[in-house]
Amino acid sequence: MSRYLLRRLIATVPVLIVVSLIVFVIMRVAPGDVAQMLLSGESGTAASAEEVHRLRQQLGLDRPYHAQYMTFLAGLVRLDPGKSLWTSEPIMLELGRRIPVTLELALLAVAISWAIALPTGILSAVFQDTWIDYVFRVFSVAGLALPAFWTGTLLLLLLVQQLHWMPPLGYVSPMDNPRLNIQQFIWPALIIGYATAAILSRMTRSAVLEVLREDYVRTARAKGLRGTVVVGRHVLKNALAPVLTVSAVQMGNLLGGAVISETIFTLPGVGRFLVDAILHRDYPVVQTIVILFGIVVVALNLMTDLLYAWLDPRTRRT
Amino acid sequence: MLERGSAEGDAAARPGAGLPPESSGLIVPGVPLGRHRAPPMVWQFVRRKPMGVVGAVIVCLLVVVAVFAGGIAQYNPYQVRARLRFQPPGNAFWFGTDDFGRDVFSRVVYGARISLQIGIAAVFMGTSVGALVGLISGYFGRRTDLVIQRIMDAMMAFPTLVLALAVVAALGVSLPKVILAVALTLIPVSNRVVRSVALSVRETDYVAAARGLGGSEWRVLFSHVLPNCFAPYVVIATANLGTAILAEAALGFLGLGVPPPTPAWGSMLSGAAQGYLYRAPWMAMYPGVAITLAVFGFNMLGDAVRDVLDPRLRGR
Repeated sequence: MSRYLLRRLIATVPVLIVVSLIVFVIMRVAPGDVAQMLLSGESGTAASAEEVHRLRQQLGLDRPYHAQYMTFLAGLVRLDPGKSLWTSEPIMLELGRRIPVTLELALLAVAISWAIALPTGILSAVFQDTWIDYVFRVFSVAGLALPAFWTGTLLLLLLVQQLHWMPPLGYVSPMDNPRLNIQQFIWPALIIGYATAAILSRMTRSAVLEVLREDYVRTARAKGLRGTVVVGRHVLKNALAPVLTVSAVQMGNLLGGAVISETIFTLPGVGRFLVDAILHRDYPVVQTIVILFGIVVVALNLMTDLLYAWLDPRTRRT
Repeated sequence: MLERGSAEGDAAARPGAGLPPESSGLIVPGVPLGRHRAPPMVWQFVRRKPMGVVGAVIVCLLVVVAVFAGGIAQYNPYQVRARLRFQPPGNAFWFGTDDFGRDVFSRVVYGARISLQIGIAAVFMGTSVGALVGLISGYFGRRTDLVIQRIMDAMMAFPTLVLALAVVAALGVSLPKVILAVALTLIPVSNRVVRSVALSVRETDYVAAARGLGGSEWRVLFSHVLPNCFAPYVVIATANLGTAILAEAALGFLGLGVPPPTPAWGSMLSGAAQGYLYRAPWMAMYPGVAITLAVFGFNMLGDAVRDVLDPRLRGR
């Protein structure tokens, strides 16, 4: 297992380097001069050549690309990606305030997605082609088609117009006021959780169906074991490994969902920070957040691989 | 004497063989041919994939609305009417009016054109580039494969929306740039699928024979391996259409999609639609319904196409 862990860790390094290269290239292919664009701002008035030159120097944009990339990489390794062009505050300081918000939202959404997906997926498979199966399949298909930004909007409309209740805006730490905190987070988490559950439920149904047709399941039934014991003890153990993988892959999309949900419910998380940074053309912030999301997904994939290898030792050989 | 219809040659041997002769693809003497020629395959598809048919109908309707938007829309979607702001849905304005007095129905109808345009262009661009690179990666293997797959690993590390946001942040906002941003997010998946097909096809005997006959690597690749990748390409492209429409709408919702006043569904849901949500909920309601229907239709059609073209996944 330790050799496998080492091999997977080494394999992650080139991926992370390419992730940083992609972000670096994307942020520098912008047509026109970034400094000119920053100085002209929303008004679109042209800045003087001297001002542009000064800002280019300040941002290090006058240096060769490889030197800019090395500085960028060094900043990432030192965990010092620089300051925001919009607020002039250190980016890490702002991220430190916002990461707990997105983390709480993501964890809550994962818990909700598993709580929805597992029972619906398992029941759908066990009662294949019955009305239970059809109801849960429609439920999951709807989750795939309903855009999170629309369900969020409808939910707000329902809460305010029908129930005359507005979810508290902003952010309160769970340590300070857990009740208010859950009121703030439950709705955005429900929206992301449902969207994620739709995919997980389909995956669970498919995996359980496959395992249900295995010989050892037939043997377990032939021994006279009750259906719940067969599913709970024999089927789930083997069916959950692929579901776990898909769940980890979905974590990446869940971060994308956080961008939308934080915008609708005005939660001051990393996703909202990214959208604000794009609207303010705050390139260092955009660059840092995009790479942060990339690193999180790579780390999650690594953790899933390790967990998978622990659950199924055969995968360590591949 | 019975003859088998070519397309349904094995139909009688399959579990659905209990179907009447006209639906199992058999040509029965004494029964007019016109009744049997085309329908059996279509009829079987309708019977076996009802949700796929629902998806196909929605997609066809969407295409009709997009193509004949000028004839279907009640008014000019850009026409501002200061005195008719926030009109609720009614006879004059079926879906009501927005904060500029523009007809929401007409904007939703024209929005179909924009969504479809972006969806098809992005899917064609992203899936084709991904498939071509996957083909090269899988066929040539070794270092080419290693380098390409590490790049794909890195691209897959970005959440779809975040990658699209980064591209739009760098390039700015316009119709071609939104298409490019969405297309980029679709590359890795099609790359992986086509690569896996190319990997198995390159080991087949006929590819070895084509090489043995002196065919160059590129000729073998494009004449013998590429045609085998067509089915997975179609499956991925159809499945990605819903994703592309959703991604474009999400960008529009965040204010980074096709810029106003162009009627795009995602953009119609953002800005004023959110600001006046409680006063004029129809501004956000109808574009949302349109997005959901379009994505649902493409997802259902994509699932059915996958089931038909990839028998391993049938019934899942």
